[in-house]
Amino acid sequence: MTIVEAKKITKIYKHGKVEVKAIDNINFKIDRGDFAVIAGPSGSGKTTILNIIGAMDSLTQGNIIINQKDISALNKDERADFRRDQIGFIFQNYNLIPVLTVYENIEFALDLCEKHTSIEKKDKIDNLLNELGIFQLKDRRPSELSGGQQQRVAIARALIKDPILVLADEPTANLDTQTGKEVLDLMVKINLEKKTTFIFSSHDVMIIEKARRVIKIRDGKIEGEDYDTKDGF
Amino acid sequence: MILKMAFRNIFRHRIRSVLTLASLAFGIFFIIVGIGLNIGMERRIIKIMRETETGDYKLYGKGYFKEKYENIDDRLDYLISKEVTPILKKYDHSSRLVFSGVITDGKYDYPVRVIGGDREIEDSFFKRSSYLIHGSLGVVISSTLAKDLNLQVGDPFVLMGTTAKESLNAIDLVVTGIIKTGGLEFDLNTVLIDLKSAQEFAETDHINDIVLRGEISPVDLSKLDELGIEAIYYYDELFDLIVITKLKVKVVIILSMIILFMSGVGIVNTMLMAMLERQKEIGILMANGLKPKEIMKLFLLEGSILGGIGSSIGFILGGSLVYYYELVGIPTPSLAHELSTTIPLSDRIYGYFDFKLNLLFLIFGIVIAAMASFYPAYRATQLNPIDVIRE
Repeated sequence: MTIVEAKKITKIYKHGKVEVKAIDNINFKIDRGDFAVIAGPSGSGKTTILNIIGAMDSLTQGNIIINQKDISALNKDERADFRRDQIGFIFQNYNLIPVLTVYENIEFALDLCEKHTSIEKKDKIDNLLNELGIFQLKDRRPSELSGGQQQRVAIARALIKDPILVLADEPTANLDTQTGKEVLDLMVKINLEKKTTFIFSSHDVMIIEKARRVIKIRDGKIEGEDYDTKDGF
Repeated sequence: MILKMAFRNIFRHRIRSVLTLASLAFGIFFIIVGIGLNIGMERRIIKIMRETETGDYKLYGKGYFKEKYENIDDRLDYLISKEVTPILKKYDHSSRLVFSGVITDGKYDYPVRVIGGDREIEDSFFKRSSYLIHGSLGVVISSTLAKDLNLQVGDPFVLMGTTAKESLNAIDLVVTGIIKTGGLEFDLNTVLIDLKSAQEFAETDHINDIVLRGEISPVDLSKLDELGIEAIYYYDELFDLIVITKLKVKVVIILSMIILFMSGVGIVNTMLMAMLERQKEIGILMANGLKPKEIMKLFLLEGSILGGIGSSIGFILGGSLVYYYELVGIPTPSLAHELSTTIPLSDRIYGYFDFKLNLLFLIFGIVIAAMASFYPAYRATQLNPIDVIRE
């Protein structure tokens, strides 16, 4: 079942009088439960596509349909609602809120989209922290964590609201190979167990190898698509 | 959670926050102390004047009240008819003869205000005995005058002046007491003598000044009016003094506004710096679904908390100081004694702690801080999350 459908999408940025076509009239579909990578060199438009799917950026032309809803026409507030309820973001630089503890960073994301009693909330967050192996870090601030630990917290923050999509922008770029592999394996495990749809933007070979679906982008256009038919990667 | 974040964000740059808090605390402290002292001074002056000078009403010959500051020497031109006595029987009052005179020590002449009144009634009405610092009632001179003339109880002096018949007169008197009320104007140059002696000196058997306690009925007011007497309520009598005090309060308020405006600029600066430093974080919050109005709420809360803490510090410190001054008071500087005829002052300045008023200043400080945070908050809502996260 298709969860993301891009129909002839185009994004043009204007820098003064100069127009830059970041995405040029492309179409693609991503299925529910997919582990997809939008791959391409720097400046190819992969992050722009991720931002458009995540309702962070608007389209110049075309339509983007997420979970059967066209998000192209949403206004600023509606896009914020969509992001808080349906999308989990994982960033290259982890981007945790420095004044909040690990637990609070996750609680914050949960509070935004759902109302829970404090007991329900605590159970849900504790379970996820245990699953991701960071329960013992829950009272620490981000500055007291390693890069790998911070990225696990970022994953927890993205997953806590049970999003229909997790969008990860170069999630392993700032991690060493071993930590990057561990973080990636964790996301693969979650994808398999929870059937959470992951869409990456990356040119990391390790991620591309793990992906079930690769959309190759160059100069804002789709260069090709690969499907991995192997089950369980 | 937004409140928690706002609170913690304040302490990310402690020195910067402390400096911002300090400026706001100083502004609120200044306004509370300044206004507290001025109101305290006004209340003290009114209290002293009512107790020692005006009572609730002063009765004058019609026209004198309007002219009194211009023609101080003409008091004897405004004598009051004796027919007033039956009307005032039911009121607690003291009938006096007041006029200007001069005391000479041989070298210099000292202008004085002579109040001739019935010794017992004056004592009962104004509690003169309790203000005596030396001697007893009889011929009493005020403390500053005694000091300037180097007069002590038992010392003789000569009082000179113009009578109601506009002839010059002089009388030898002996000081029986020295009085100090705390009202600097009274203490400066007042001589209290017996009504009869005053009338003899002034060559009249009339009076020209009545002090009265309580409310005068409209019927009696009308009768007084018919007799050519005007009743002046103490507030009107002291109006000029009160206006000056209120003017001082206005000056304090203007100065405080300037200080608070500067504090507000400091808060704008602090919050702008915070916004610029935390652009990426704001982008992350937006990515997680925080709406512009919630971003604005976060910054306004930060500003308000900053304002709340700063204003509370100013409120506590300023309020404590004013309350202390309300209990203990501070002596008036000696220079103020020189100015006491033009500026309403008493011998001690007392504060007045008005909780509701000071609470209003505290809230005002918070509102200023919140208003000062509005622009940085607005700037934060205008950030593009994509741009700031990428940076």
